[in-house]
Order: sequence, then structure tokens, then C-alpha cells
Amino acid sequence: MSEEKKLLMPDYIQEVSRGLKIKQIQDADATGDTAAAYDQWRNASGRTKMPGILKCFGQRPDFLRQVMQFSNTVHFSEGHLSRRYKEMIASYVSFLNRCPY
Amino acid sequence: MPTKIKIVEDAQATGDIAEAYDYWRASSGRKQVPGVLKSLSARPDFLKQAVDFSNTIQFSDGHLSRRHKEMIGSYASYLNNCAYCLDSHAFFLKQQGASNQTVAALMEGNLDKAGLTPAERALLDYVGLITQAAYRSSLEDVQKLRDAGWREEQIAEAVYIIALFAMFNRIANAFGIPPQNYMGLGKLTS
Repeated sequence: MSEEKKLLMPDYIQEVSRGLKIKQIQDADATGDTAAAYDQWRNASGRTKMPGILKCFGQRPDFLRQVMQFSNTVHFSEGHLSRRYKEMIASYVSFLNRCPY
Repeated sequence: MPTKIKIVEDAQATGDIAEAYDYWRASSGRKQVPGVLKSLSARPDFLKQAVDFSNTIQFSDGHLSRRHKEMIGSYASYLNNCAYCLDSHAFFLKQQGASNQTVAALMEGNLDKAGLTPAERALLDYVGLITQAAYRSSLEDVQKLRDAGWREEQIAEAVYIIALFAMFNRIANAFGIPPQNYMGLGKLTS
């Protein structure tokens, strides 16, 4: 990382950018039920690369499927709150929890 | 005692909410829906998913044992000041065979007096770190867990459980669900 970029980034982002702290199962390494759960997300989203946050759940593909389902139920859809307000909440909570991802 | 945010009680539930409550009753074999699940009554579809994913990741053996999961849940609930969850998960921990001394010490957040193995101590120190400031955890912190004998998939599962308690502790505290006093009664409610 350039010195200039380091100056612009808070310490906690530099820490995160050092690399993964716990091993993830990457797209190319996924086999069995993990590969099947990843495929399910790719088919539903129409995208090809799994988001890092979902790969955190690669060790428990059964749980990963449930996480994708309840995220769609309660966050990625209109409910009692609009999608816009849900993303307002999520953005501010992520700021407070220092989660740059 | 009224809750801070309104919940739908067992007797008042109709339609989808009644159906979601029955879903939990069928899954648990019990009658009185726990307050933390009634907190989800505004979204009965989400409530049923919460029953399912809690069974998948917390209320079953996985990469971690039920007992270690309840140790994590009890200590995280202590750190998050969730009296409701601490009472119920300390009781579940006791049901999983933990000694009275371990349960009592964890209810006071006292890891030194909990009679933990070095591996369990490393795990609960990590629970403290992730619960209080996950962003501050380092490669070295995770290496301490590996050195204590925890496998990568066990560390991953511990993180899911710590996060699960971050969620339910906040829900129980925001709604203000009164503790069920399982520890005082020495048993679950019916």
C-alpha cells in the first residue's frame, strides 16, 4: 500500500487490508455442499464471484443458505420499512461498528 | 412487566403470527414461546427462519460441541449485558454438563474462576475480543486459537455464534424482554 493511501485510511481499514484473518473457502476451492451453496447464490444473483461476507460462511453451507434466505426476507426487500431506510440503518450501523466492507 | 417495544403474546396471536408460534412449539415440544422469539412477531416469516437457523447453528453439535456453543453464548450475553439471554444460556450450559462453578463464574464474567481448560480460555478471550471490537482482532489473535488446538472451521463457527448472540442480545435488550428465570426455577418453562 502506498504511503499516501495509508494516510487516507484509518488504522482499522489498514488492519483489514492485511489479509484474511480466518481462512475462507474461495470460489475456485469450493467442493461438495459448499460449491452447491455458492452456485445457488450465483444463480439467484446472476453474478459470478461470491461476496467475501458470504464466503465467511463457507465452513457451514447449510447455515450459509439460511443466511442468504433471511437476509432476503428481512433486509433485501421491502417490509414494514422501505429498502432505502434499511440501507440507511445498515450504512450507519456499519460505520459505528467500523466495518468498511 | 410491559416490554419497551410491543410484542404479541401467545394468547393474542392470530394468522401468520399464530402459525409461526406453532412452528416453534412443534420444533421445541414446548408451549410458551420465549420472549426473544415473540420480539420477531412483527415479521412472522423471519421468526420461522430464526427458529430454523438457530437450530442449525446453535442448538445442535457442529464443528463445536453444544457445550462450547453455550459457553460462548453465556459469556457473550454477559458482555452484552443481556440478562434474558444470560439466564437461558447459562441454564442450557448447565444442561450440557458444565459444573455449577463454571456456570456461576461465567454469569459473573469471571473467566479466571470458571475452571476452563487452556483451549476454552483462549476461545472465551476471543469471544471477548470479537464481541467488544471485532475490527480490532488481528492475525495473531486468531493464531492464538490455532495454537490452543482449535481448527479453522471451529474458529469460523465460533464467529457465527458470537455474531448470533450480538443479534439476539440486542433484540432482547431493545425490546426489554424480562428474563424467564430458568436458573432460579432450575428448569425450563413449559
